[in-house]
Amino acid sequence: MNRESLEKTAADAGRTMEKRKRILRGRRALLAVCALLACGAVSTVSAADYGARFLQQYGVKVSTAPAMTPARSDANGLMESYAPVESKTNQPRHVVSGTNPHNGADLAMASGERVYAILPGKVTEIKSDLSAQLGSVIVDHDIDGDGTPDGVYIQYVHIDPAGAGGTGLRVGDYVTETTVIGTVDRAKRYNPHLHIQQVSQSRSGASSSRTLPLYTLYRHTSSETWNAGSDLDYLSSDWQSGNRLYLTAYAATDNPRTQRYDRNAPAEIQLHYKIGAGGKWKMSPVRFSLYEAQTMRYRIDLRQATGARKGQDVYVYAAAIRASDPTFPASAAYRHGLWPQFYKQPDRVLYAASSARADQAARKFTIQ
Amino acid sequence: MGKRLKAASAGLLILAAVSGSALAESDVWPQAAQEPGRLAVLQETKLQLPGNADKRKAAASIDPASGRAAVRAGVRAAEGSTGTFNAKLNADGLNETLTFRYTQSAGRRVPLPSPDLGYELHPLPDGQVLVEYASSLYKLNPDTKTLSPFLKAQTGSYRQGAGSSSKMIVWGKRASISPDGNVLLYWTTRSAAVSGREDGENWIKDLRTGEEKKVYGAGYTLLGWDTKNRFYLDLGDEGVVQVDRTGGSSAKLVTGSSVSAVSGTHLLSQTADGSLNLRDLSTGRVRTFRGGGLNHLRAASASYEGRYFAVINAPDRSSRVSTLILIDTKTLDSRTIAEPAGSSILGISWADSRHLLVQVRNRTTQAESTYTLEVEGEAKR
Repeated sequence: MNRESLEKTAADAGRTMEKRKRILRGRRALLAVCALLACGAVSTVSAADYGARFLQQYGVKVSTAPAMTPARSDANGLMESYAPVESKTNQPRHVVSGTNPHNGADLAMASGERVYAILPGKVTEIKSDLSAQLGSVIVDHDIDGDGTPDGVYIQYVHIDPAGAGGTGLRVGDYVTETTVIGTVDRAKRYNPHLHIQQVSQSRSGASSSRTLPLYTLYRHTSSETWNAGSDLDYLSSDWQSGNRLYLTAYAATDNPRTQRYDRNAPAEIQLHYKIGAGGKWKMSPVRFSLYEAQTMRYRIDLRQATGARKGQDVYVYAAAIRASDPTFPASAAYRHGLWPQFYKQPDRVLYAASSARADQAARKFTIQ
Repeated sequence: MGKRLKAASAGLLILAAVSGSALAESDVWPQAAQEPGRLAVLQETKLQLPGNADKRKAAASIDPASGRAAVRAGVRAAEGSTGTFNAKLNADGLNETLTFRYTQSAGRRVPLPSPDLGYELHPLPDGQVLVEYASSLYKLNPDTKTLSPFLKAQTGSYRQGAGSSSKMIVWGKRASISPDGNVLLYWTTRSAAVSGREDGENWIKDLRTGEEKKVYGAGYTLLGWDTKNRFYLDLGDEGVVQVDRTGGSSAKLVTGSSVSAVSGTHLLSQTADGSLNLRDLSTGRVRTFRGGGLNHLRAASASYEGRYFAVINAPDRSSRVSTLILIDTKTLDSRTIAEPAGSSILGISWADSRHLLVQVRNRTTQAESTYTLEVEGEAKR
């Protein structure tokens, strides 16, 4: 599939997504998706299934909007500050409590540090129960700056919402990029940090709510900071060129031994596939190989990895196995993140009992 | 810098006394200097901050196979050229080469703040620069291109890299220099190795003696310093405190959450829609400002030496529409200015005591630009 045909496929998929969003979010969201496509977004496809909590966005060229960072280094809120990432969206974790894989990205911000809206928008939800650092704010962001929110929802968690009470932040408030929406809560249950998460709905808690990747908001960021947004997602930025499939994959963690924030390469990235709609699922003996070390970019030749012939359709998903590190011991039971993304500890082998889960998760490619 | 800004700006603003619910004016924008992009002035250096267009270019330049971007969205000098140099950091277990951007000013190499390069910068009084990197502070000599540790590796019972904690320790960051240049304020979590608490503490380093000590027990956001070299912390819902840097004594000046800003002489704070308080930091006298269409503050800004505050006001909290209100701290005269036609105000900052930079975005084209408004001290009644 060349780039032109990929974009056509992507556009088709995008139209499917538009339909979903029309139901979910109404007319304004439709306009937002049109804007995304016009800006070069490749596609957005639902991976809804048995227990999925992620809504996959595809593509190396997708850019929802160039958002600002939620941390700033000056009192006017103009100087962006790239807080190190302690854990990424869809990253397998070794935690006693909390979501696994991680349902958002953790930024190493300080207790009491101001949290700014990353784009303008309207506040749709405020939670002010601070007993376990679970205060949060959801903002429906205005991604094109026209003054109207576009159905891109960001939830800012573990914060003390600005001025909880009569004169503070309220649902319905319009905020700008220099508006403080809260401060990072003090240590109670977790170390102080900001958990930032792109969600599919204006209010949290609904079983139908999904998490979306964050990298599409920070494609402009440098390799020294958030690596084109890939610091925020365990697996991101897929790209197909000919029969080659590219992915960016690594874990992010704080390392108390070195006092550094590390980008840790996965132990391996497996490709699971079937040939043709009626084929049998299996794992390829071929693994993704490192293609670009600076950006942690991996690739695999789908023809070589699957043995499929030219013109055949192959259905694939990838499982990136997290390597052990100081915060992720060898004893960790759950070690994989999937692309396309899934949530609630899906089986690495989605077809162990039935092919239905793998069928729903997979993406289709036509071998060239 | 001040002369250059004055020459560039034609919009001279004379504040008028507030009378009831003043209507917002909008005729100041055609007379003000307007420059493309997002501008800010830090330490007398005018900067072009990466804006929407720069970021889109960087995103579009990514090679889809390698993931590498050909274009970087970074800070650059708004006037004069921007160069780069490298400096090696061999300390604290680090062996790295950092790249710095700089511009030339008065024959000196002035490093530019470049968060996109992975660190924060803070100028020191001696012309050198502090670099926040890898959870500590390092001193950069821009002339010799050398980096060296700045904080003591051991203070009291705390020792950097002791390795006794299972948590990461921030040895020093969020640095700020007092106006008299004698003290560095920084934030650290070094006590977490002992206490297990990770909320952090504010410490100072006496730049004359090298002594380092804790002065206030929590993190929070630094609003600024006053002319007596006291600093002000925004504690979120716990208010705003004034901290004496020498003894560490503190006083709560605002109770509860507020939108606040500090100049060298005044603290502005809003705790209730429709009014704001201005505290004279020398006398403690508090005056209340109302009118001018003031409702809910989205942001506030002050220059250190200036007598004026600028605030972004939301006449209707649920609407995207903002007004800019300029307030004279001496007279409480004010002027209320509507947004430029078709544009939204993004942010405000002071270039110096008289020149306000207003960043705006066109709602149709998304083009960003910065207006320079000159605020006149001769208030008219």
